[in-house]
Amino acid sequence: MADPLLKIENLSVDYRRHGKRVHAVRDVSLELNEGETLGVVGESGCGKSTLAMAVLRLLPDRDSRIPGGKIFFRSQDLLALDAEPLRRIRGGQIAVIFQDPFSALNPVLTVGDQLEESMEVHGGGRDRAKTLSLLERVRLPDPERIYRAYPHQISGGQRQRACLALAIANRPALLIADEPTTALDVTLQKEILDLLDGLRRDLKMAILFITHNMGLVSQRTDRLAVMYAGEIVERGKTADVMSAPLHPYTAALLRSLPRLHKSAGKLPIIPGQPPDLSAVPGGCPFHPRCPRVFDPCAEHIPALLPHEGRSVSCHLYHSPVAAGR
Amino acid sequence: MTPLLRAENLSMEFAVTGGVFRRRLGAVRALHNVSFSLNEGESLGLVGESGSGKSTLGRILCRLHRPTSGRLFWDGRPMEDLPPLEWASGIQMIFQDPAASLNPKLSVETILAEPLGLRARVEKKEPPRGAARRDAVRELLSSVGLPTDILSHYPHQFSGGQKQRLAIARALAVRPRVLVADEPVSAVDLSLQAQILNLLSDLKEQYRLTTLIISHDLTVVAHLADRLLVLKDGETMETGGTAEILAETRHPYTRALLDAVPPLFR
Repeated sequence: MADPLLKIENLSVDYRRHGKRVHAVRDVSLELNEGETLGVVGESGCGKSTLAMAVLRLLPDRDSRIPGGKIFFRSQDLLALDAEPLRRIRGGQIAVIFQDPFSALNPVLTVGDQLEESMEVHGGGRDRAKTLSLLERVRLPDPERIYRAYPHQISGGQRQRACLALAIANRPALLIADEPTTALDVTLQKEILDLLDGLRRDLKMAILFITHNMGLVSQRTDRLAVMYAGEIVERGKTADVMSAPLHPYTAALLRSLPRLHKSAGKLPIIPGQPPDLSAVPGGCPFHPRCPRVFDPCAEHIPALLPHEGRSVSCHLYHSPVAAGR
Repeated sequence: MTPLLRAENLSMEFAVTGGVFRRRLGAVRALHNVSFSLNEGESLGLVGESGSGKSTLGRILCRLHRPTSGRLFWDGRPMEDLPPLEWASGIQMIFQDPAASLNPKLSVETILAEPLGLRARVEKKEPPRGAARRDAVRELLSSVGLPTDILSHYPHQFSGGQKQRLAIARALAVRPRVLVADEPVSAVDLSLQAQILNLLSDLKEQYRLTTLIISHDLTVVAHLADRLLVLKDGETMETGGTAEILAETRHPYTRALLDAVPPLFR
């Protein structure tokens, strides 16, 4: 099989906050093939957005540090790239859309201007007809009006569509979608996700979804990586993970969320709370909250190892002795 | 039986102003002729998307807005006849973002002592002081599942879930009969949402608390509410028992909301 489009190898990212080191991402490995959709799912503070920012090389230079790991995009080491080649990849072959479309757009440029600026920077030149067809492509009504409009003059859903037009302007091979629909109404969410699906097929684009929304990943991704406290705890085909989660965190989280047709009564909770990333517990980071904790969990960090067609980092499946850790 | 809370044709318009003299340019209709009644111990879920008027309705009930027209009744008495203090001790509210609803400069003891003082005033008693006050605060903390040794802590020392518990404790301090919860778990960590939802159902049972749950998330509302009121653009689309609406909705908008719930959560 060909090299993956994106390959993240043993990546770690630290932040400095109030003089303390925060280990936001620890030893994360991921692969994404051309045209594939991968969901990175976890709660706030699990490191999923930091991971996305690292791929885009958008981490703040002063306060963050990458103590180890590599990121390859089409076999090119992104972490070793200089500013200029990096700029050609960003917004070119790798594009991004964020949760808040308003802050992602420049408030003093019209939508048309922003699109053309991006295409110009990436060597496409300014082409009004092409810009209008892009706006049509993301199903914006009345493209002529949107072309001339400033971001504050259009609705939230239209802004996210404009961001999407901006993202696909240079036909990226990889789109990073960081909570792309969290700020939108539920009925609008479906429209935007359907649109993303269509664009992915037409442009043969891979999508990396970064989200806390289990419903979104369950419906819109091929594969899935579940993160907890900066680590990937489970990784595999979405259908497998959702129907029979292996890691106790994934299982407990899915059980705890309310369902439409379940009788009222108590939800099965996960006790405690997610750890502070500057003081992650020793051993498995989930062990203080885990319903299936046993002897090795507090002592040994479990490794992410293959099990039944997916990967899971839990001593229930791999004894620490056998794993050599 | 007189309902505890009754709303009759509530409407709310917000003025749109502009120019140097803040001239009135028009009005936005946030709520139009919405009526409902709520019996003691019952829970009503307000569902709708942003701009549907659900938060406006919650805020009117807590007297944070005065409705443009329509009337509110408390135990059969019109709201205008009730002293503000009595209303405030009868209905309390918790908000989506607990961090923004807690004063960062006040300690846990001060945050909770304030409404305890209010309750004492309603009951025409001396507000608790010293050891008695600290005991009352500790009792409140344990009723929402928080540790009792955090009296001198400040809001920034807590996680999102703990802050929401603190906000709930503050709301309960006046022993309200109605609790309005506006998006109670939207800003809470995913793995802590079940804890907060269970706490709300516990409180409902324990204190026979009447609750109004406002959320865009149908699964949250379906879990907590006996009855639903579906709002769109300020108007009632559908109202009825939760189970009935979920099983067989008659309204296309409710249908669209139900279809938007991923199969995983149905």
